Amino acid sequence: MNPHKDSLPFPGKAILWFFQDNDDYYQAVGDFEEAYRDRVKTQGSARAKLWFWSQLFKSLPGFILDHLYWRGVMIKNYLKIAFRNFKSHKGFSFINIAGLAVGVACSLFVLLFVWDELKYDRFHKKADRIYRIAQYIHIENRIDSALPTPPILADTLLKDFPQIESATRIHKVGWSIVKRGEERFEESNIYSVDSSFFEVFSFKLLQGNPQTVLDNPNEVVLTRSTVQRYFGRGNPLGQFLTIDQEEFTVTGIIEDAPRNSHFHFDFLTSISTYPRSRTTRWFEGFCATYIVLKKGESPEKLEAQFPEFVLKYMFGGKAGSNRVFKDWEYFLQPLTDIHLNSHLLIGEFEPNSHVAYVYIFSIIAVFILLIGCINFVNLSTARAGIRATEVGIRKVFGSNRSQLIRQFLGESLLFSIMAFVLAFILIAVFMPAYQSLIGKDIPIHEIITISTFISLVILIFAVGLGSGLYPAFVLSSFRPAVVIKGSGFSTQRFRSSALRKGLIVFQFTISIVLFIGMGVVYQQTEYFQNKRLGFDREHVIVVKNANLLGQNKSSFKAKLLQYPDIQSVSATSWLPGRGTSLRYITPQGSKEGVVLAMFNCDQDFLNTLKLQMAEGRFFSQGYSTDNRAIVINQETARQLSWNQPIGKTFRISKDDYHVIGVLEDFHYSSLHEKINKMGVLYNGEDLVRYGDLFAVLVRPKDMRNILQIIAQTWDSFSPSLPLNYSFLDQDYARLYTAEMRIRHITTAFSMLAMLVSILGLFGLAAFTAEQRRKEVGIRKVLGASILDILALMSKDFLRWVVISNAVAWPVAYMVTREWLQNFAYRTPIRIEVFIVSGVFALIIAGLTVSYQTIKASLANPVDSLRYE
Amino acid sequence: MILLSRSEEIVLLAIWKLKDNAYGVSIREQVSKDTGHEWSFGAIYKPLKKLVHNAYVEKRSSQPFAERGGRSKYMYSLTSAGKKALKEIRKIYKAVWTEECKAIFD
Repeated sequence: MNPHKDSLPFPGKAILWFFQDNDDYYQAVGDFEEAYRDRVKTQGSARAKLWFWSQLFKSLPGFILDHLYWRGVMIKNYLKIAFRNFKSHKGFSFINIAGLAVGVACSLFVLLFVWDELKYDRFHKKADRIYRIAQYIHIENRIDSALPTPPILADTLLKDFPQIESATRIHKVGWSIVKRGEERFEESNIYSVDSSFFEVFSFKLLQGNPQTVLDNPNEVVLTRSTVQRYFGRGNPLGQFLTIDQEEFTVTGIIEDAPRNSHFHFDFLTSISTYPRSRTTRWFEGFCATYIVLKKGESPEKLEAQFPEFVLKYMFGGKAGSNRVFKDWEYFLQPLTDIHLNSHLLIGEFEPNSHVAYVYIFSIIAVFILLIGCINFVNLSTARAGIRATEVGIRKVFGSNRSQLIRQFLGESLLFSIMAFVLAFILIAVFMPAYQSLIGKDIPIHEIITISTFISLVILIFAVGLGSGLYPAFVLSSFRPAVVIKGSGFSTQRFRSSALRKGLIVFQFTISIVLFIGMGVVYQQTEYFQNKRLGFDREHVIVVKNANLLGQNKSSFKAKLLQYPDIQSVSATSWLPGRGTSLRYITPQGSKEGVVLAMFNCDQDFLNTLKLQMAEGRFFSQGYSTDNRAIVINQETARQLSWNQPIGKTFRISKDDYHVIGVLEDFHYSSLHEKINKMGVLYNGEDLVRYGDLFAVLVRPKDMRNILQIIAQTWDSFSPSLPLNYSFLDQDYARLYTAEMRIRHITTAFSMLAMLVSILGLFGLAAFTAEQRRKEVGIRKVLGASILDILALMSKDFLRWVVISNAVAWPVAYMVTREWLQNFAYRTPIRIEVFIVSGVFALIIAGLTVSYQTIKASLANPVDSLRYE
Repeated sequence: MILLSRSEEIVLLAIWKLKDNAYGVSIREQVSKDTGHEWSFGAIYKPLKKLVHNAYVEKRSSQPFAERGGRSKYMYSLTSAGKKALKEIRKIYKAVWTEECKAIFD
């Protein structure tokens, strides 16, 4: 009779195996099989199978209870042993848990960040069907990406494409003065929207009819917090507010936009208030356009129809028919993608985040968690010798391997749980610091849900089992006869583990890469700070809202200049660090126009910012012709290939402007961008025409006193708002917020990674020192010096760190080079950074190891050899 | 006084009845016959294991059997403690089920 014929179905056997220890398993399989065969003979194999499965499932509760009952007895013992081990090796246990906890805390922090980033704009009911229309505008040889679309676009799209369910327009009004009665407020979050706003978005209207609130011109909906600011507890509906000289009626109240929305408003005015919203011109960017696709419609299909649409409406059916705009492409941005992936050059409502952040963060955090787990694996296997006797004795008393594996897995699970508890404490302590590091407040109460709880439990198990698996297999593999006899087993075993070496190399490689990364980021940000920009941003105070002074601008300037501490004052429409406005002008001898970044300023701009002239002269009060003069930068002359630019003319609107001077190139925007063409026009003597800014160059003295002087002067003209000022260097530094954040993050995380690696190395070094006590004793007796022993013990560790360097450098080089590509002006990658990082890792590792080895080498051989 | 759970008691009795042929399959059949409804294997292993642990029943492996694919099966037999336990249970029943309890069945 073939024993394998008619045997039980394999999955059934597996289930039996899972619940039962060896002996019981064979009994159960045997019994089941016998009964099963009988059935096969009498009733046929199909019914027998059915019977088997029903029996198996009926038996399961019994199996499980049985399993738990007998397990319970052993678990008590396992726990006792685990805690005893924990107590008798406090140092190791601490390193294990602390390393894991730091790793876990890091990865949880990152999960928080990633979770928050990915949730942007998901609260809208139609979020997966809402798209924003953005555009690539081809001007000259340049392509700009821009948000503001022609106001007529929304209606035309609705008319032409039946797959669009609804469309709405949003125009950011920007900075305005809002008056309620005699009170004046400065507001910057004013958006004007179509009445279809509430059809598309799910912002919650608290009062008012969503269909009609913004139907008519001069209506405004306020957010709840704005209502509180303006009306307190009173009823705002039907009240009046003046926004930029226009009177508005309050027709509704809306919930404040959630933190994770890609734009935030305090006021929503009806877009029909603004005449520009009714223009039918196509080449006019005014408002963002959002559409909702009907269910099941594909955005790609719609996008594919856009070129034809553009040709028809914008270029009159003939490509290249517009002199300025070579082409105009529309494309769709999924709403939920905007926060991470939209980086339009022109018109973003708010600066968006970057998906690269999410990646960088995640990778770093996973690595740190990995380093913590590696510590666990290394220390557990290294300490195998200590547990070996226990394993031997358990096996002698009848434990089988799977029981031992379960025991050790259980222990690592216990460690994992403790690490998580510690991690939570760390998170609670460092939450505020972390929030300022990533620059956002994550509300904790939003995170505590069932699903986060479940994923935490999964993570605890993953970490516990993941890091415990290898040690469990190693520990449970010992042969009792060998380990109980204890013949020089443990040292041999420890020293020959290639895996452990590999893991240490891996740990240090990651740490060193992070360190080099930190170094390069640091260098690049320092480069930002120190690069000669071509202008002086120190000691320049920026006075904003200068237009509030009206006709008194000149007097304000004159009055300021009376103070000896104020060196120079300039009225201007622009300062470095702010967005430039682009204008399309025609140079002499050309039919084609060029685009220049342009601004207006008075004659003192040159000295206030300490700009240098390359040729010619700057504006001056003495020349009445300067109202029709222009100063360009060297780049403009270069691009127009003008060897002698002085005297050449530009046609702006209908007038000719003479070039009177050429400025030396200076970095008017951030170092991400190359210097491009720039032109400066004269602000005239009256200063009234253009420019909402004053740049005030002061002597580096008592800043507070100077600010007081400026404020008093400002107040003496009693403008409607108090003085609003900033410092030019700080305004400029704001261009690099993202880079500074990356700098802080890499610093924090690379330090942590190094710390956890060092913890692991420390543990291992302590362990080797202990293991080799006798060897050291004998060597000393035979005449080895302390230095010999130091070298002997540190050699291995240091070799690993050197190997790590060799692996880390090329990786770090590639990663940092990629990052530096983001900048038009960048620091070269210096070999010093690599060397410093490598040497630093080496020194730290050396110090860590030498503490243990010196201790070992100084020990008196009598103590270590006494018991032999 | 020895107190066994009801399932332990039933299994113990079945083993006594089966004499030399008490092993998983036969015990399950005996128990099912005695009680009149089908028992699953899981339901008899649990009391069996406890009986073995408390030394009422002895477990030993038999000669290999051809019908078990050359494997041996585990045979169970009562120990003296097991017999004593059965006697005691019987005594307790007698003491508890007094004459007047017959009225329950009327």
